[in-house]
Amino acid sequence: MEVIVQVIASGLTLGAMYAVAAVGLALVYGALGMLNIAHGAILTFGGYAAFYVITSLGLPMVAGVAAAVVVGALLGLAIYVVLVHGMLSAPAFETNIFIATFGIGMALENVVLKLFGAYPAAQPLAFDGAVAVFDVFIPVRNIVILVAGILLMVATAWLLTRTQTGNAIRATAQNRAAAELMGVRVRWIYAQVLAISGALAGVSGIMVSSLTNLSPTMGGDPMLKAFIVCVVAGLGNVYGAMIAAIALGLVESTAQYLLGVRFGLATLLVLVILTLIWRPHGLFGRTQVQRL
Amino acid sequence: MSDPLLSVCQVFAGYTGRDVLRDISLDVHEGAFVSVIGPNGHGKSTLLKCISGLLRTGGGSIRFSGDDVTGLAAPAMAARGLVHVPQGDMLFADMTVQENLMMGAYLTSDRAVIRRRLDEVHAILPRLADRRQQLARTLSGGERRMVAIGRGLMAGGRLTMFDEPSLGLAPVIIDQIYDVMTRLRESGRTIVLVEENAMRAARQSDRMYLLDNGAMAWQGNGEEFLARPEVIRSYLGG
Repeated sequence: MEVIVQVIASGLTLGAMYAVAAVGLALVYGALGMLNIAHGAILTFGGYAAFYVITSLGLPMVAGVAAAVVVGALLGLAIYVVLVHGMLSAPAFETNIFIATFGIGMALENVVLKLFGAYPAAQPLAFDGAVAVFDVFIPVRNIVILVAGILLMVATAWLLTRTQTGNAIRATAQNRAAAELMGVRVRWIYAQVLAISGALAGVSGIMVSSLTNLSPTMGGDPMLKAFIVCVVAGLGNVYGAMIAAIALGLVESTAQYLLGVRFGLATLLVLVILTLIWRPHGLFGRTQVQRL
Repeated sequence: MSDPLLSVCQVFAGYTGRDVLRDISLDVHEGAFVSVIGPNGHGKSTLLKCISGLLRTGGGSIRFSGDDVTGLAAPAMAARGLVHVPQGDMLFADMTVQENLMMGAYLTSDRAVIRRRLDEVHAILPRLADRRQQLARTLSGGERRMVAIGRGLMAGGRLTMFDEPSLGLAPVIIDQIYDVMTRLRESGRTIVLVEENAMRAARQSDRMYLLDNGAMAWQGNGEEFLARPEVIRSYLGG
Protein backbone atom coordinates (compact mmCIF):
# COMPACT_ATOMS: atom_id res chain seq x y z
CA MET A 1 0.00 0.00 0.00
CA GLU A 2 2.72 2.46 0.95
CA VAL A 3 4.56 1.69 -2.26
CA ILE A 4 1.48 2.28 -4.38
CA VAL A 5 0.85 5.65 -2.75
CA GLN A 6 4.51 6.53 -3.21
CA VAL A 7 4.51 5.58 -6.89
CA ILE A 8 1.25 7.40 -7.60
CA ALA A 9 2.37 10.53 -5.74
CA SER A 10 5.65 10.61 -7.60
CA GLY A 11 3.94 9.87 -10.92
CA LEU A 12 1.39 12.64 -10.47
CA THR A 13 4.17 15.12 -9.63
CA LEU A 14 6.12 14.17 -12.73
CA GLY A 15 2.92 14.25 -14.78
CA ALA A 16 1.94 17.72 -13.59
CA MET A 17 5.43 18.95 -14.40
CA TYR A 18 5.40 17.44 -17.89
CA ALA A 19 1.90 18.74 -18.50
CA VAL A 20 2.88 22.36 -17.92
CA ALA A 21 5.86 22.02 -20.27
CA ALA A 22 3.93 19.99 -22.86
CA VAL A 23 0.86 22.22 -23.05
CA GLY A 24 2.98 25.19 -24.06
CA LEU A 25 4.62 23.11 -26.77
CA ALA A 26 1.27 21.73 -27.97
CA LEU A 27 -0.31 25.19 -28.04
CA VAL A 28 2.38 26.54 -30.35
CA TYR A 29 2.37 23.47 -32.57
CA GLY A 30 -1.41 23.50 -32.80
CA ALA A 31 -1.64 27.17 -33.72
CA LEU A 32 1.41 27.64 -35.95
CA GLY A 33 2.53 24.15 -36.97
CA MET A 34 5.78 25.13 -35.31
CA LEU A 35 7.88 22.80 -33.18
CA ASN A 36 9.61 25.16 -30.77
CA ILE A 37 12.89 23.46 -29.85
CA ALA A 38 13.85 26.53 -27.81
CA HIS A 39 11.03 25.70 -25.37
CA GLY A 40 13.50 23.89 -23.11
CA ALA A 41 15.84 26.88 -23.03
CA ILE A 42 12.95 29.21 -22.12
CA LEU A 43 12.17 26.83 -19.28
CA THR A 44 15.78 27.09 -18.07
CA PHE A 45 15.57 30.89 -18.23
CA GLY A 46 12.40 30.81 -16.13
CA GLY A 47 14.08 28.73 -13.45
CA TYR A 48 17.10 31.05 -13.33
CA ALA A 49 14.93 34.18 -13.38
CA ALA A 50 13.24 33.03 -10.18
CA PHE A 51 16.63 32.10 -8.71
CA TYR A 52 18.10 35.51 -9.52
CA VAL A 53 15.16 37.51 -8.20
CA ILE A 54 14.99 35.57 -4.93
CA THR A 55 18.66 34.86 -4.20
CA SER A 56 20.45 37.88 -5.66
CA LEU A 57 17.77 40.56 -5.30
CA GLY A 58 16.34 39.14 -2.08
CA LEU A 59 12.73 39.53 -3.20
CA PRO A 60 9.89 37.26 -1.99
CA MET A 61 8.90 34.03 -3.76
CA VAL A 62 5.89 35.59 -5.48
CA ALA A 63 8.26 37.96 -7.25
CA GLY A 64 10.28 34.91 -8.33
CA VAL A 65 7.22 33.34 -9.96
CA ALA A 66 6.32 36.64 -11.60
CA ALA A 67 9.87 36.98 -12.92
CA ALA A 68 9.76 33.47 -14.44
CA VAL A 69 6.41 34.22 -16.10
CA VAL A 70 7.53 37.59 -17.47
CA VAL A 71 10.93 36.35 -18.70
CA GLY A 72 9.30 33.31 -20.33
CA ALA A 73 6.62 35.39 -22.02
CA LEU A 74 9.17 37.95 -23.27
CA LEU A 75 11.39 35.22 -24.69
CA GLY A 76 8.37 33.69 -26.46
CA LEU A 77 7.49 37.11 -27.84
CA ALA A 78 11.11 37.65 -28.91
CA ILE A 79 11.07 34.35 -30.82
CA TYR A 80 7.97 35.57 -32.62
CA VAL A 81 9.47 38.96 -33.48
CA VAL A 82 12.94 37.73 -34.44
CA LEU A 83 12.13 34.44 -36.17
CA VAL A 84 8.48 33.67 -36.82
CA HIS A 85 7.33 37.02 -38.19
CA GLY A 86 9.83 36.99 -41.02
CA MET A 87 9.75 33.26 -41.78
CA LEU A 88 6.01 32.69 -41.65
CA SER A 89 5.20 33.50 -45.26
CA ALA A 90 8.28 31.80 -46.69
CA PRO A 91 7.99 28.25 -48.01
CA ALA A 92 8.82 25.26 -45.78
CA PHE A 93 8.05 27.21 -42.61
CA GLU A 94 7.80 24.08 -40.43
CA THR A 95 11.28 22.87 -41.32
CA ASN A 96 12.93 26.28 -41.21
CA ILE A 97 11.47 27.28 -37.87
CA PHE A 98 12.40 23.90 -36.39
CA ILE A 99 16.06 24.48 -37.25
CA ALA A 100 15.97 28.15 -36.31
CA THR A 101 14.53 27.47 -32.85
CA PHE A 102 17.10 24.73 -32.38
CA GLY A 103 19.78 27.38 -32.90
CA ILE A 104 18.07 29.91 -30.63
CA GLY A 105 17.77 27.25 -27.95
CA MET A 106 21.51 26.57 -28.04
CA ALA A 107 22.29 30.27 -27.94
CA LEU A 108 19.98 30.83 -24.96
CA GLU A 109 21.49 27.89 -23.11
CA ASN A 110 24.93 29.43 -23.54
CA VAL A 111 23.68 32.79 -22.33
CA VAL A 112 22.65 31.07 -19.10
CA LEU A 113 26.04 29.38 -18.93
CA LYS A 114 27.76 32.74 -19.35
CA LEU A 115 25.57 34.53 -16.81
CA PHE A 116 25.33 31.93 -14.06
CA GLY A 117 28.17 29.47 -14.68
CA ALA A 118 28.09 25.74 -15.22
CA TYR A 119 27.73 24.68 -11.60
CA PRO A 120 24.30 23.50 -10.50
CA ALA A 121 22.53 25.77 -8.03
CA ALA A 122 19.64 25.04 -5.73
CA GLN A 123 16.25 26.54 -6.60
CA PRO A 124 15.35 28.81 -3.69
CA LEU A 125 11.70 28.70 -4.67
CA ALA A 126 10.95 25.35 -3.07
CA PHE A 127 9.09 24.16 -0.03
CA ASP A 128 10.53 21.90 2.63
CA GLY A 129 8.74 19.43 4.84
CA ALA A 130 6.46 16.51 4.15
CA VAL A 131 2.89 15.44 4.69
CA ALA A 132 1.87 11.94 5.72
CA VAL A 133 -0.65 10.24 3.42
CA PHE A 134 -1.50 6.64 4.36
CA ASP A 135 1.70 6.50 6.43
CA VAL A 136 3.75 7.66 3.46
CA PHE A 137 5.63 10.92 3.69
CA ILE A 138 5.10 13.01 0.61
CA PRO A 139 7.30 16.09 0.23
CA VAL A 140 5.37 19.36 0.32
CA ARG A 141 7.15 20.53 -2.83
CA ASN A 142 5.64 17.61 -4.76
CA ILE A 143 2.18 18.60 -3.60
CA VAL A 144 2.82 22.22 -4.52
CA ILE A 145 3.95 21.15 -7.99
CA LEU A 146 0.84 19.01 -8.44
CA VAL A 147 -1.53 21.76 -7.28
CA ALA A 148 0.25 24.41 -9.35
CA GLY A 149 0.15 22.10 -12.38
CA ILE A 150 -3.57 21.51 -12.02
CA LEU A 151 -4.26 25.22 -11.54
CA LEU A 152 -2.25 26.09 -14.66
CA MET A 153 -4.11 23.46 -16.70
CA VAL A 154 -7.46 24.79 -15.53
CA ALA A 155 -6.35 28.34 -16.30
CA THR A 156 -5.18 27.33 -19.79
CA ALA A 157 -8.43 25.51 -20.52
CA TRP A 158 -10.39 28.51 -19.26
CA LEU A 159 -8.36 30.87 -21.42
CA LEU A 160 -8.87 28.73 -24.53
CA THR A 161 -12.61 28.19 -24.17
CA ARG A 162 -13.98 31.14 -22.23
CA THR A 163 -12.13 34.19 -23.54
CA GLN A 164 -12.23 36.05 -26.82
CA THR A 165 -8.48 35.57 -27.24
CA GLY A 166 -8.81 31.83 -26.60
CA ASN A 167 -11.57 31.49 -29.17
CA ALA A 168 -9.42 33.34 -31.68
CA ILE A 169 -6.46 31.04 -30.90
CA ARG A 170 -8.54 27.92 -31.44
CA ALA A 171 -10.16 29.32 -34.57
CA THR A 172 -6.77 30.24 -36.01
CA ALA A 173 -5.42 26.76 -35.27
CA GLN A 174 -8.39 25.10 -36.93
CA ASN A 175 -8.65 27.26 -40.02
CA ARG A 176 -6.32 30.19 -40.48
CA ALA A 177 -7.91 31.68 -43.60
CA ALA A 178 -11.40 31.46 -42.08
CA ALA A 179 -10.15 33.15 -38.90
CA GLU A 180 -8.78 36.00 -41.02
CA LEU A 181 -12.16 36.35 -42.71
CA MET A 182 -13.74 36.72 -39.23
CA GLY A 183 -11.39 39.66 -38.63
CA VAL A 184 -8.82 37.84 -36.49
CA ARG A 185 -5.38 39.39 -36.88
CA VAL A 186 -3.62 36.06 -37.10
CA ARG A 187 -0.07 37.31 -36.60
CA TRP A 188 -1.01 39.04 -33.37
CA ILE A 189 -2.58 35.76 -32.24
CA TYR A 190 0.65 33.93 -33.05
CA ALA A 191 2.65 36.41 -30.97
CA GLN A 192 0.24 35.92 -28.06
CA VAL A 193 0.41 32.14 -28.34
CA LEU A 194 4.20 32.22 -28.16
CA ALA A 195 4.07 34.54 -25.16
CA ILE A 196 1.57 32.29 -23.33
CA SER A 197 3.64 29.23 -24.16
CA GLY A 198 6.78 30.99 -22.92
CA ALA A 199 5.08 31.98 -19.66
CA LEU A 200 4.06 28.35 -19.08
CA ALA A 201 7.62 27.24 -19.83
CA GLY A 202 8.94 29.78 -17.31
CA VAL A 203 6.78 28.39 -14.50
CA SER A 204 7.63 24.87 -15.57
CA GLY A 205 11.30 25.81 -15.16
CA ILE A 206 10.69 26.61 -11.48
CA MET A 207 8.89 23.29 -11.01
CA VAL A 208 11.65 21.24 -12.63
CA SER A 209 14.48 22.97 -10.80
CA SER A 210 12.73 22.75 -7.43
CA LEU A 211 12.78 18.94 -7.74
CA THR A 212 16.33 18.69 -9.07
CA ASN A 213 18.69 21.62 -9.48
CA LEU A 214 19.30 24.63 -11.64
CA SER A 215 21.81 24.07 -14.42
CA PRO A 216 22.19 25.54 -17.89
CA THR A 217 21.23 22.22 -19.49
CA MET A 218 18.27 21.52 -17.20
CA GLY A 219 15.76 22.26 -19.98
CA GLY A 220 16.83 19.28 -22.07
CA ASP A 221 15.11 16.53 -20.15
CA PRO A 222 11.70 18.22 -19.65
CA MET A 223 11.82 19.37 -23.29
CA LEU A 224 12.31 15.77 -24.40
CA LYS A 225 9.53 14.56 -22.10
CA ALA A 226 7.20 17.32 -23.26
CA PHE A 227 7.90 16.36 -26.85
CA ILE A 228 7.18 12.70 -26.07
CA VAL A 229 3.93 13.73 -24.41
CA CYS A 230 2.92 15.76 -27.46
CA VAL A 231 3.75 12.94 -29.88
CA VAL A 232 1.79 10.43 -27.81
CA ALA A 233 -1.17 12.80 -27.50
CA GLY A 234 -1.09 13.85 -31.14
CA LEU A 235 0.92 16.95 -32.04
CA GLY A 236 -0.91 20.16 -31.33
CA ASN A 237 -3.65 18.63 -29.19
CA VAL A 238 -3.67 20.67 -25.97
CA TYR A 239 -6.18 18.65 -23.94
CA GLY A 240 -4.65 15.39 -25.15
CA ALA A 241 -1.28 16.65 -23.93
CA MET A 242 -2.69 17.29 -20.46
CA ILE A 243 -3.99 13.72 -20.18
CA ALA A 244 -0.95 12.12 -21.82
CA ALA A 245 1.40 14.02 -19.48
CA ILE A 246 -0.26 12.69 -16.35
CA ALA A 247 -0.41 9.17 -17.83
CA LEU A 248 3.24 9.20 -18.83
CA GLY A 249 4.27 10.56 -15.43
CA LEU A 250 2.50 7.62 -13.79
CA VAL A 251 4.05 5.15 -16.26
CA GLU A 252 7.51 6.56 -15.68
CA SER A 253 7.28 6.41 -11.89
CA THR A 254 5.90 2.86 -12.06
CA ALA A 255 8.70 1.78 -14.39
CA GLN A 256 11.26 3.45 -12.15
CA TYR A 257 9.97 1.49 -9.18
CA LEU A 258 9.54 -1.88 -10.90
CA LEU A 259 12.51 -1.85 -13.26
CA GLY A 260 14.86 0.73 -11.77
CA VAL A 261 15.33 4.47 -12.27
CA ARG A 262 17.52 4.13 -15.35
CA PHE A 263 14.73 2.32 -17.21
CA GLY A 264 12.23 5.15 -16.77
CA LEU A 265 13.02 6.96 -20.01
CA ALA A 266 13.58 3.71 -21.93
CA THR A 267 10.12 2.51 -20.94
CA LEU A 268 8.60 5.80 -22.07
CA LEU A 269 10.32 5.57 -25.43
CA VAL A 270 9.19 1.98 -26.00
CA LEU A 271 5.68 3.10 -25.15
CA VAL A 272 5.90 5.94 -27.66
CA ILE A 273 6.99 3.53 -30.38
CA LEU A 274 4.15 1.15 -29.60
CA THR A 275 1.65 4.01 -29.50
CA LEU A 276 2.77 5.28 -32.87
CA ILE A 277 2.58 1.83 -34.44
CA TRP A 278 -0.93 1.47 -33.08
CA ARG A 279 -2.05 5.05 -33.76
CA PRO A 280 0.36 6.90 -36.06
CA HIS A 281 -1.21 10.28 -35.30
CA GLY A 282 -1.14 9.90 -31.53
CA LEU A 283 -3.79 8.87 -29.05
CA PHE A 284 -5.96 11.93 -29.57
CA GLY A 285 -4.70 12.92 -33.03
CA ARG A 286 -6.95 13.26 -36.05
CA THR A 287 -6.17 11.04 -39.02
CA GLN A 288 -4.69 14.02 -40.76
CA VAL A 289 -2.38 16.38 -38.94
CA GLN A 290 -3.87 19.79 -39.49
CA ARG A 291 -1.80 22.70 -40.59
CA LEU A 292 -3.90 25.71 -39.63
CA MET B 1 -27.32 56.88 -59.32
CA SER B 2 -25.26 57.01 -56.14
CA ASP B 3 -21.72 55.70 -55.92
CA PRO B 4 -21.51 51.92 -55.70
CA LEU B 5 -20.78 50.33 -52.30
CA LEU B 6 -18.20 48.07 -53.88
CA SER B 7 -16.33 48.93 -57.01
CA VAL B 8 -13.80 46.58 -58.57
CA CYS B 9 -11.85 48.34 -61.30
CA GLN B 10 -9.66 46.57 -63.88
CA VAL B 11 -8.32 44.00 -61.47
CA PHE B 12 -5.69 41.46 -62.40
CA ALA B 13 -4.80 38.58 -60.08
CA GLY B 14 -3.38 35.12 -59.99
CA TYR B 15 -1.25 32.57 -58.25
CA THR B 16 2.55 32.40 -58.57
CA GLY B 17 2.82 34.61 -61.59
CA ARG B 18 -0.01 33.18 -63.68
CA ASP B 19 -2.95 35.48 -64.14
CA VAL B 20 -6.29 33.93 -63.32
CA LEU B 21 -8.22 37.19 -63.54
CA ARG B 22 -7.69 39.70 -66.32
CA ASP B 23 -9.10 43.19 -66.36
CA ILE B 24 -12.11 42.53 -64.16
CA SER B 25 -14.49 45.38 -63.33
CA LEU B 26 -17.66 45.06 -61.28
CA ASP B 27 -19.94 47.37 -59.30
CA VAL B 28 -22.25 46.51 -56.43
CA HIS B 29 -24.75 49.11 -55.23
CA GLU B 30 -26.18 49.27 -51.74
CA GLY B 31 -29.09 46.83 -51.35
CA ALA B 32 -28.42 45.05 -54.65
CA PHE B 33 -28.25 41.33 -55.26
CA VAL B 34 -25.40 40.73 -57.71
CA SER B 35 -24.39 37.35 -59.00
CA VAL B 36 -21.20 36.24 -60.68
CA ILE B 37 -21.69 33.19 -62.83
CA GLY B 38 -19.47 31.12 -65.05
CA PRO B 39 -18.03 27.66 -65.44
CA ASN B 40 -15.89 26.00 -62.79
CA GLY B 41 -12.26 27.06 -62.64
CA HIS B 42 -12.72 30.36 -64.44
CA GLY B 43 -11.84 32.68 -61.59
CA LYS B 44 -15.06 33.26 -59.66
CA SER B 45 -13.63 32.25 -56.28
CA THR B 46 -10.39 34.04 -57.04
CA LEU B 47 -12.37 37.23 -57.59
CA LEU B 48 -14.04 36.93 -54.18
CA LYS B 49 -10.68 36.23 -52.53
CA CYS B 50 -9.26 39.40 -54.09
CA ILE B 51 -12.17 41.46 -52.83
CA SER B 52 -12.02 40.04 -49.28
CA GLY B 53 -8.23 40.43 -49.09
CA LEU B 54 -7.34 36.72 -48.89
CA LEU B 55 -5.46 37.16 -52.14
CA ARG B 56 -3.45 40.18 -53.26
CA THR B 57 -4.39 41.73 -56.55
CA GLY B 58 -1.74 42.08 -59.24
CA GLY B 59 -3.14 45.31 -60.64
CA GLY B 60 -6.23 47.45 -60.67
CA SER B 61 -8.08 48.90 -57.72
CA ILE B 62 -10.89 48.04 -55.34
CA ARG B 63 -13.02 50.65 -53.60
CA PHE B 64 -15.39 49.90 -50.75
CA SER B 65 -17.76 52.42 -49.28
CA GLY B 66 -15.87 55.26 -50.95
CA ASP B 67 -12.40 54.26 -49.70
CA ASP B 68 -9.57 52.75 -51.68
CA VAL B 69 -9.11 49.33 -50.08
CA THR B 70 -6.74 47.84 -52.67
CA GLY B 71 -4.21 45.61 -50.96
CA LEU B 72 -5.87 45.54 -47.54
CA ALA B 73 -5.61 42.19 -45.75
CA ALA B 74 -8.64 40.07 -44.87
CA PRO B 75 -8.99 41.15 -41.21
CA ALA B 76 -8.99 44.82 -42.26
CA MET B 77 -11.67 44.14 -44.87
CA ALA B 78 -13.75 42.28 -42.30
CA ALA B 79 -13.43 45.27 -39.97
CA ARG B 80 -14.87 47.47 -42.73
CA GLY B 81 -17.95 45.30 -42.97
CA LEU B 82 -17.14 43.09 -45.93
CA VAL B 83 -18.16 39.50 -45.26
CA HIS B 84 -16.94 36.54 -47.33
CA VAL B 85 -18.63 33.17 -46.88
CA PRO B 86 -16.02 31.01 -48.57
CA GLN B 87 -16.40 27.97 -50.77
CA GLY B 88 -16.19 24.68 -48.90
CA ASP B 89 -17.52 26.35 -45.73
CA MET B 90 -14.12 26.51 -43.95
CA LEU B 91 -15.75 25.99 -40.57
CA PHE B 92 -13.87 25.70 -37.30
CA ALA B 93 -14.28 21.93 -37.22
CA ASP B 94 -13.55 21.33 -33.53
CA MET B 95 -15.76 24.14 -32.32
CA THR B 96 -19.47 23.87 -31.66
CA VAL B 97 -22.10 25.38 -33.94
CA GLN B 98 -22.62 28.12 -31.38
CA GLU B 99 -18.88 28.86 -31.14
CA ASN B 100 -18.63 29.02 -34.92
CA LEU B 101 -21.48 31.53 -35.01
CA MET B 102 -19.88 33.57 -32.24
CA MET B 103 -16.61 33.70 -34.21
CA GLY B 104 -18.63 35.35 -36.97
CA ALA B 105 -19.28 38.22 -34.55
CA TYR B 106 -15.63 38.34 -33.46
CA LEU B 107 -15.28 42.05 -34.21
CA THR B 108 -18.53 42.99 -32.48
CA SER B 109 -18.26 43.68 -28.76
CA ASP B 110 -21.81 44.85 -28.03
CA ARG B 111 -23.52 41.83 -26.45
CA ALA B 112 -27.01 43.08 -27.16
CA VAL B 113 -26.19 43.42 -30.86
CA ILE B 114 -24.69 39.92 -30.91
CA ARG B 115 -27.79 38.45 -29.25
CA ARG B 116 -30.09 40.19 -31.73
CA ARG B 117 -28.07 38.85 -34.68
CA LEU B 118 -28.05 35.36 -33.18
CA ASP B 119 -31.85 35.45 -32.89
CA GLU B 120 -32.04 36.60 -36.51
CA VAL B 121 -29.76 33.78 -37.67
CA HIS B 122 -31.76 31.24 -35.69
CA ALA B 123 -34.97 32.59 -37.24
CA ILE B 124 -33.58 32.23 -40.77
CA LEU B 125 -31.75 28.94 -40.10
CA PRO B 126 -33.76 27.23 -37.32
CA ARG B 127 -31.72 24.03 -37.61
CA LEU B 128 -28.74 25.84 -36.08
CA ALA B 129 -30.70 26.52 -32.91
CA ASP B 130 -31.24 22.76 -32.43
CA ARG B 131 -27.58 21.97 -33.08
CA ARG B 132 -26.06 24.66 -30.85
CA GLN B 133 -23.73 22.38 -28.86
CA GLN B 134 -22.79 20.01 -31.67
CA LEU B 135 -19.24 20.03 -33.02
CA ALA B 136 -19.06 21.38 -36.55
CA ARG B 137 -17.15 18.33 -37.79
CA THR B 138 -20.08 16.05 -36.92
CA LEU B 139 -22.66 17.95 -39.00
CA SER B 140 -24.08 16.90 -42.35
CA GLY B 141 -23.05 18.77 -45.48
CA GLY B 142 -26.23 20.84 -45.57
CA GLU B 143 -25.95 21.76 -41.90
CA ARG B 144 -22.34 22.78 -42.36
CA ARG B 145 -23.35 25.08 -45.18
CA MET B 146 -25.98 26.61 -42.94
CA VAL B 147 -23.37 27.21 -40.22
CA ALA B 148 -21.11 28.88 -42.78
CA ILE B 149 -23.96 31.15 -43.92
CA GLY B 150 -25.03 31.84 -40.33
CA ARG B 151 -21.47 32.64 -39.32
CA GLY B 152 -21.26 35.12 -42.18
CA LEU B 153 -24.54 36.76 -41.13
CA MET B 154 -23.32 37.08 -37.53
CA ALA B 155 -20.78 39.64 -38.74
CA GLY B 156 -23.65 41.97 -39.64
CA GLY B 157 -21.63 43.19 -42.60
CA ARG B 158 -22.53 45.90 -45.09
CA LEU B 159 -21.90 43.51 -47.98
CA THR B 160 -21.98 39.72 -47.83
CA MET B 161 -20.40 37.53 -50.49
CA PHE B 162 -21.44 33.87 -50.84
CA ASP B 163 -19.20 31.54 -52.81
CA GLU B 164 -21.32 28.77 -54.35
CA PRO B 165 -23.59 28.14 -51.37
CA SER B 166 -25.31 25.29 -53.24
CA LEU B 167 -22.13 23.41 -54.14
CA GLY B 168 -22.23 19.68 -53.48
CA LEU B 169 -25.62 19.61 -51.77
CA ALA B 170 -28.70 17.48 -52.41
CA PRO B 171 -31.38 19.25 -54.52
CA VAL B 172 -33.80 19.50 -51.62
CA ILE B 173 -31.14 21.21 -49.48
CA ILE B 174 -30.23 23.50 -52.36
CA ASP B 175 -33.87 24.67 -52.41
CA GLN B 176 -33.60 25.46 -48.70
CA ILE B 177 -30.37 27.39 -49.23
CA TYR B 178 -32.00 29.39 -52.02
CA ASP B 179 -34.99 30.14 -49.80
CA VAL B 180 -32.46 31.63 -47.38
CA MET B 181 -30.92 33.69 -50.21
CA THR B 182 -34.37 34.99 -51.12
CA ARG B 183 -35.07 35.98 -47.52
CA LEU B 184 -31.73 37.77 -47.28
CA ARG B 185 -32.45 39.61 -50.52
CA GLU B 186 -35.91 40.63 -49.27
CA SER B 187 -34.44 41.91 -46.01
CA GLY B 188 -32.54 44.48 -48.08
CA ARG B 189 -29.04 43.14 -47.57
CA THR B 190 -26.35 43.81 -50.15
CA ILE B 191 -25.27 40.48 -51.57
CA VAL B 192 -22.77 39.09 -54.03
CA LEU B 193 -23.48 35.51 -55.02
CA VAL B 194 -21.08 33.30 -56.93
CA GLU B 195 -22.91 30.49 -58.65
CA GLU B 196 -22.34 27.92 -61.36
CA ASN B 197 -26.04 27.33 -61.90
CA ALA B 198 -26.88 30.46 -63.87
CA MET B 199 -30.63 29.84 -64.10
CA ARG B 200 -31.03 29.76 -60.32
CA ALA B 201 -28.95 32.89 -59.92
CA ALA B 202 -30.83 34.73 -62.66
CA ARG B 203 -34.16 34.51 -60.84
CA GLN B 204 -32.74 36.43 -57.87
CA SER B 205 -30.32 38.87 -59.37
CA ASP B 206 -30.54 42.59 -59.95
CA ARG B 207 -27.33 42.34 -61.90
CA MET B 208 -25.33 39.45 -63.31
CA TYR B 209 -21.74 39.13 -64.43
CA LEU B 210 -20.56 36.23 -66.56
CA LEU B 211 -16.95 35.32 -65.93
CA ASP B 212 -15.33 33.27 -68.65
CA ASN B 213 -11.71 32.19 -68.63
CA GLY B 214 -10.73 34.94 -66.23
CA ALA B 215 -12.37 37.80 -68.08
CA MET B 216 -15.80 39.44 -67.93
CA ALA B 217 -17.71 38.07 -70.90
CA TRP B 218 -21.14 39.58 -70.35
CA GLN B 219 -23.15 41.60 -67.87
CA GLY B 220 -26.74 42.54 -67.52
CA ASN B 221 -29.79 42.07 -65.33
CA GLY B 222 -31.53 38.80 -64.56
CA GLU B 223 -34.35 39.15 -67.10
CA GLU B 224 -31.95 40.02 -69.90
CA PHE B 225 -30.04 36.91 -69.07
CA LEU B 226 -33.13 34.71 -69.10
CA ALA B 227 -34.11 36.20 -72.46
CA ARG B 228 -30.83 35.20 -74.04
CA PRO B 229 -30.47 31.46 -73.68
CA GLU B 230 -27.65 31.43 -76.23
CA VAL B 231 -25.44 33.02 -73.58
CA ILE B 232 -25.99 30.03 -71.37
CA ARG B 233 -25.31 27.65 -74.21
CA SER B 234 -22.12 29.24 -75.42
CA TYR B 235 -20.48 29.75 -72.06
CA LEU B 236 -21.89 27.13 -69.82
CA GLY B 237 -22.32 24.31 -72.30
CA GLY B 238 -25.97 24.00 -71.26
